[in-house]
Amino acid sequence: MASLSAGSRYRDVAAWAFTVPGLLFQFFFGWFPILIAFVVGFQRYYFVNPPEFIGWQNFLDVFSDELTWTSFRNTFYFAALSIGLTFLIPIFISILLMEMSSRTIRWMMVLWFIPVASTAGIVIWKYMYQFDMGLMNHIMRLLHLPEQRWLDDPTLAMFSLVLPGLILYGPGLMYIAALQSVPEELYEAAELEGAGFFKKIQTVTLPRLRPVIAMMLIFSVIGAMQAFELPFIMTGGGPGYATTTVVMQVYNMAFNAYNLGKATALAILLFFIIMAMIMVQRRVVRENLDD
Amino acid sequence: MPLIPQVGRRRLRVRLALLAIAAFLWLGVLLHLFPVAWMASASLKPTREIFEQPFRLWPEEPTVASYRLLFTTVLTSGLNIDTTVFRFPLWVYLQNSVVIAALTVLLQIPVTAMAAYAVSKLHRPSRARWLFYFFIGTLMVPGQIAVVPRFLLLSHFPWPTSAVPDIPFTGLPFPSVSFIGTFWGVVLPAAFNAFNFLLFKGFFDTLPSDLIEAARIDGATELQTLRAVMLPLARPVVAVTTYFAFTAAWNDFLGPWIILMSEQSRWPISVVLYKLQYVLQGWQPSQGSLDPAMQQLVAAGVGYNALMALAVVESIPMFIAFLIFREQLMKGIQIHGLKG
Repeated sequence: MASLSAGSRYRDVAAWAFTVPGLLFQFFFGWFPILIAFVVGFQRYYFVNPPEFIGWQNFLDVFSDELTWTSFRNTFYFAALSIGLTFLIPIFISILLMEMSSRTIRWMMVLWFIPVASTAGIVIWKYMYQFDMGLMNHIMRLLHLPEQRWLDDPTLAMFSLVLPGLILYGPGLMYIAALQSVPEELYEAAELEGAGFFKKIQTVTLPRLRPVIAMMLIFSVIGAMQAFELPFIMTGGGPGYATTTVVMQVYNMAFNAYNLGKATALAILLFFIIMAMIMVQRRVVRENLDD
Repeated sequence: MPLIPQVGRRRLRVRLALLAIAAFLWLGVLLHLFPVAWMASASLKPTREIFEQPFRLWPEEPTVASYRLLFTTVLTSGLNIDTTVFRFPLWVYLQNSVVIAALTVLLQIPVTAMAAYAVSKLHRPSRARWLFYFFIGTLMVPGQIAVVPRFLLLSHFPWPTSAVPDIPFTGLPFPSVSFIGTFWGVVLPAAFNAFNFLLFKGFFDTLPSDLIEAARIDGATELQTLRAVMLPLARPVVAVTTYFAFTAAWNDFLGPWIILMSEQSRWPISVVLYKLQYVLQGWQPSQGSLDPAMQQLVAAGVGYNALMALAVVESIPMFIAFLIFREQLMKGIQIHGLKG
């Protein structure tokens, strides 16, 4: 008995020894900064001066700043455009891909997932959108359509950010992984009941994919609502403020205007809006699961 | 395979449908490859051909001049630091990217794998559950809220504020260290990764605990069990997580941009590419530019072909990593739910 408990104590020590490095990193760089945000958001904080508490002043500043509302409008527009136009694509491409022979699937996937560095991918498109040297206007001329200013056109700029995702359709690794784990028998059973192509998608494939889809939708919403890199590199937020997202505005306030308190207050506002969206989304998905 | 039954595949209607699906999918593959090919082709064009209309898909006189230019141009004159790229030779920037990516992988994979192994196999269930949520909870939370505080934290670690408190009764401030302008400021925040944790844990969950018991009975320490029994089995997951950690570190832009902004000698290539396109974006062939940094670059022959060459240089290591880890990636990744 004594040796057993000594063994389990040793095991406990080992368990913690394995856990502590991750625990520390996750605390300091995962959770702690989120907690700090709720302090800095209530402080007047410029880089050099020591911070002082000023209550809700930062939030009042954020609310009375016209750019706040512009950036929120842009962010919602971007999220709606990008999720509305591109979220479903990888799901259906992945489903269709499964119809190919396994050799074809392998080849297509290798070619599809050839990576380009992400800043490189964005810069390529910026070059394509270039007014007189870019490929997009060349194609427009070939099709006898009017040339566009793309990223420089306030009404077209946001759409131009989303367009590459629409043109470059492809499958998703997560969906493929989920699809491969669906047992063949389910399809055979559906077949025996006389289910055709679409009926099988509806009754077998989609219900099986549902948890992955729900998870990916949450990640997509979190990602799209926090868009930064794509608009920052493609347009720099312009023309004017046509593509300035909330996170870009946070960045501008913090690292151009050096107003860390106000920047963090805006980030907190965005945080709660996204959390509310996730909550609503989970509710809707769960209710759908019941029927 | 599953939607269209195997038996009916010889019927004409089914064959046509399959053909249409295949054509649609291959078109997607081609569209995906096109920008890559366009980038490579533009990088090999002499500057004259960049402006030529109509465009050629492949350069008439392919040249590596742009690459040579990238690797040899160093602008040393005292121009506006904000717009001057290439104050250091390109290989310095490349080396920075390699160091950041290597440190990230070497730190993140052991830290994350050990934590996942402990949560999956060593802790008792009630505790494992709480640890699990602690480890993956940040995935379900919009993380940009932490950008500014993380910067503050890295400025005087472990204190999140410039007003570092004094050690009681001494009047001396507590020790703090600044990671701003250092590689650690980029690497340490990536030392644990919640998504890779999920992949590791999902995998360790599928391994039978008997294996561990057997190793223990043979007298192995816990570390030996992890190293000699579990990790060899976990090779596919290690491959996938390593690939993810590497590409994320290589691609990271916002982190290095904020942390290393003031230290051009430590910029990774992603930041250099951003800077170069920023310098070039206002450039029209017809009009000269007033920006002296731009004039100098353009005079040296740096144009969109050089920009694309830099994009190629940035992408090649990712391509190599992809070739190395392709097998494991294609086997597909399995995520075993977000619930403990």
